[in-house]
Amino acid sequence: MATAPLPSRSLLAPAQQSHPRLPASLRICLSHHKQPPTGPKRHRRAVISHPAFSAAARGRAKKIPIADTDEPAAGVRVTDRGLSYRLDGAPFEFQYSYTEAPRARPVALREAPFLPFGPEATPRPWTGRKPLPKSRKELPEFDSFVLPPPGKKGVKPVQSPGPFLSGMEPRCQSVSREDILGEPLTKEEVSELVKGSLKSKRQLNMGRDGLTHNMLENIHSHWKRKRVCKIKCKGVCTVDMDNICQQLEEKVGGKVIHRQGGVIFLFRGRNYNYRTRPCFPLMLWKPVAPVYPHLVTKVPGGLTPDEATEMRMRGRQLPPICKLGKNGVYANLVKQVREAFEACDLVRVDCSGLNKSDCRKIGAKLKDLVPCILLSFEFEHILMWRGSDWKSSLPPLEENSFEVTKVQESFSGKESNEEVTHSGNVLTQIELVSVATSHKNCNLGEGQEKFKDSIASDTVLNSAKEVPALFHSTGISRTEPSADTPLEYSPLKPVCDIMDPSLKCQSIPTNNTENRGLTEKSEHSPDGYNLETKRKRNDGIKGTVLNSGSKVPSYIEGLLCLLEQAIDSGRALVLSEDELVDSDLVYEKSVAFTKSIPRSLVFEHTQRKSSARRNGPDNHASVKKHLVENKLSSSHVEKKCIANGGSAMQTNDHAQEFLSDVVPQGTLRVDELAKLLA
Amino acid sequence: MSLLATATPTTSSHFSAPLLPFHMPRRNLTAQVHRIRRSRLVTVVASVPDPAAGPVEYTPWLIAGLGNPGNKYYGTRHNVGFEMVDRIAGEEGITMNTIQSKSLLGIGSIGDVPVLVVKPQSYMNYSGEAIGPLAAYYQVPLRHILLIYDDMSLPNGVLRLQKKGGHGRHNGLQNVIENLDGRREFPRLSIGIGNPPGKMDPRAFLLQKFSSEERVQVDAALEQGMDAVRTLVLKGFSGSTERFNLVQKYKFHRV
Repeated sequence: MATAPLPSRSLLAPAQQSHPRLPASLRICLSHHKQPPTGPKRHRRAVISHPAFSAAARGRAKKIPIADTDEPAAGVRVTDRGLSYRLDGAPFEFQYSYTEAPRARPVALREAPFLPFGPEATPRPWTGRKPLPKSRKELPEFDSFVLPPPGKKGVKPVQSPGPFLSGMEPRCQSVSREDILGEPLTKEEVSELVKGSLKSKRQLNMGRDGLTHNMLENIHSHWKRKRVCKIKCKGVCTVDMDNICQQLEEKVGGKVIHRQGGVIFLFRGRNYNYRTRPCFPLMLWKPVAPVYPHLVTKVPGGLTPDEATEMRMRGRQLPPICKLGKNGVYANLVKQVREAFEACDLVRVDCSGLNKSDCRKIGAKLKDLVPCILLSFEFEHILMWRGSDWKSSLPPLEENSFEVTKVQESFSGKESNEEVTHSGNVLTQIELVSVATSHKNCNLGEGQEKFKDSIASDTVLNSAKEVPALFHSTGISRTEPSADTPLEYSPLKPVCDIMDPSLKCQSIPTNNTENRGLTEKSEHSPDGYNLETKRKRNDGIKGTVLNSGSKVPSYIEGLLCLLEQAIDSGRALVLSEDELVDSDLVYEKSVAFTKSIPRSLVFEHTQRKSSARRNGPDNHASVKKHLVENKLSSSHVEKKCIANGGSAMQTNDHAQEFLSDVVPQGTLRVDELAKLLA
Repeated sequence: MSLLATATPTTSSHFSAPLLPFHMPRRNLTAQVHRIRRSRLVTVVASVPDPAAGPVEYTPWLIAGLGNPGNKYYGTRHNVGFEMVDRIAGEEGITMNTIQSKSLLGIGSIGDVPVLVVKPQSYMNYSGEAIGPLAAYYQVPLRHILLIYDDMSLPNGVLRLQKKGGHGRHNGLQNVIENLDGRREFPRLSIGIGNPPGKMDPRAFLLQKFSSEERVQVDAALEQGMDAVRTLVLKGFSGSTERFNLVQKYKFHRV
């Protein structure tokens, strides 16, 4: 909108004489200077020798201190948000940019303040062209509710007002904002509107100046023809998308219905009428930005110069948390910086490739939004410090072990983490570790056996306790932590010593290998008794734990049951201790084994490529069938059926969910299923 | 990692004291000098036994690590999944001695929750054929299949626990997703291995072994991952998972 001094024959006298001062409510129609040059080009020196045009004035950067007076000079006010202009009759104070004005009070101005809304207010002579004479033709007022008939030719497309809910008639004479907006939009209406405008080519671009004053008028002109205005924001302004949306809704009066990355969809309102829209005078000049206080001070907030220098030096080695691309969307930047502050007090953001002023602007915004202190802009990076009075926004840690350890390890290495975990873990680990140190197979089998027995024996034991207790006892009675066990298992010793006297170590026969026979029935009752005592002891030592009920053992038991069956049926093979050491051997064995098992067993559960992505009604049927037959503890065949439930992507979500709880997605098709069930 | 949720009681503080000296020497694996910067809790606090006890649910978990079998691929970048799973099995005392459905597996429990620890012995690109039928056989629901694998999109040694996601051009994951009927809603633990430098062939990068510094970082990561897996199995996805991810993301952002 700024006019360059165009050489032109018909020069106007200085601007103050050309137009009377127009009231703000009238639209100012100034012509765009797109007229073809009249006649051959004439090169002219600037005819008018006004001091404003002298080279000296152009070169020197002036700094006018802000007058301390309260009365605004010609409606220009210097506020905490930069310059703002007040005109009579205006609904709010105008600013050059409503979102990008830095939230700091300007220190000085670079030129005398003026109202940029018309040529009459500028202290410079008007060197532009004379505006075009207004057309004599009487153009009808554009009323949104009076649409041209649909068949009419030569008319630009206009969207009718709405969308109107059934039963509500359009209100033509709405003035207030809520009236124009009408009822809140329903979800379907929103999705419909958004879908229609997602791919539209008409869009407004918002760049480093954010929501400028003239953009308000642009939005209205978009709304003249379409219900939804699509605004694409790129670059600096995207750092604070929320503010943009809020300012848009306030100043322009529409409603943001959808926000996607840097794109905003602005709905005009159900009863919007272009005729009765608020008209603002256009800003014809871009006012020069005032001088703001420095972003980066030598010694920022509360630090000594040494500390500041030290931080800056540290910052030079810090890896940046992210790299900003030029004109990208930085919507997540604030969040990322806040998160990074949880981890470290200095944060560095890579801004290479951006304009220098963009970099500064982003820094200024970050300073306000993430409250932080800017330390330096060296090497095209922004270095920030979180400030001495920074509070973590993470919720307070009730369970101090996990989070504390997690946080701590990020600072203090793994040591404290290990301590905490091990102290917390000690008994479980030891118990289970004791299993590992002994003959693994036997132990596992035995332990589980005992498990089953004790359940059968109907003791009201804390079953969860049992398992570790059992393992523990077997471990202690059988093994010493051998010399070759890694150091981590050595804590077993002190705990063993403490635990040992409290336990009655029973002599459990060691040579119980794969024998899953219940030879331990004989030991059952002493076991039970021992377990009782152990439990009491354990409770005493370990503290109270809730009884997890009898569900737990059955699940482990279920798995083991399945495993047994697999081994029995020949699907699974158990390797011995020495074979496990060499992974090559393991691989070879597994290959050999897989090749040797009968195909019926193998292909039961593998996917058939043909039915891999099958969708549709046949799966429905299979799903429903399985609903009927869903049981956990079922026979082999049934298990097969269950496992072969319908494949994914059911429309029957309920069944899906239910199934997915119990049954993994299987692969057989309906006809196979029918064969099985028949 | 908190043991509060496990039924096994958390220790009283007098246990922790004798343990400290045992653990200190072993844990000098951190790459960076530990600095206790925050004024938050530094001491080992005896955690209060959580009255809410038991794990979230007792449905069994299937923890599968993706990798290539054999000694040739032992310790390579693509095999971090195997390493993690080996560690889990070791720490929870689960022996992996059964071969079923082209994989090596072991059954045990973390706390109260039954757990199936699996290392597919089919090569990486066919891991799905091993894991899918296994999950079907043992009736493990989709949301309880935890896949552990290497991730080139994360920096070296950074872990991330996700509830669901895509495959990120990881052939093993792709195969698993394919074999689970295209379902992607299974949790995963991705272990970062960093980008291949310059124009190095990604496949060559994946089959390289770790450098010494990276090895150190990865070992640290495995430790942290161990706790994360425990919490996940016992408590499911919760705020602590987000916090874990956050901490992991910024754990190298320190000077």
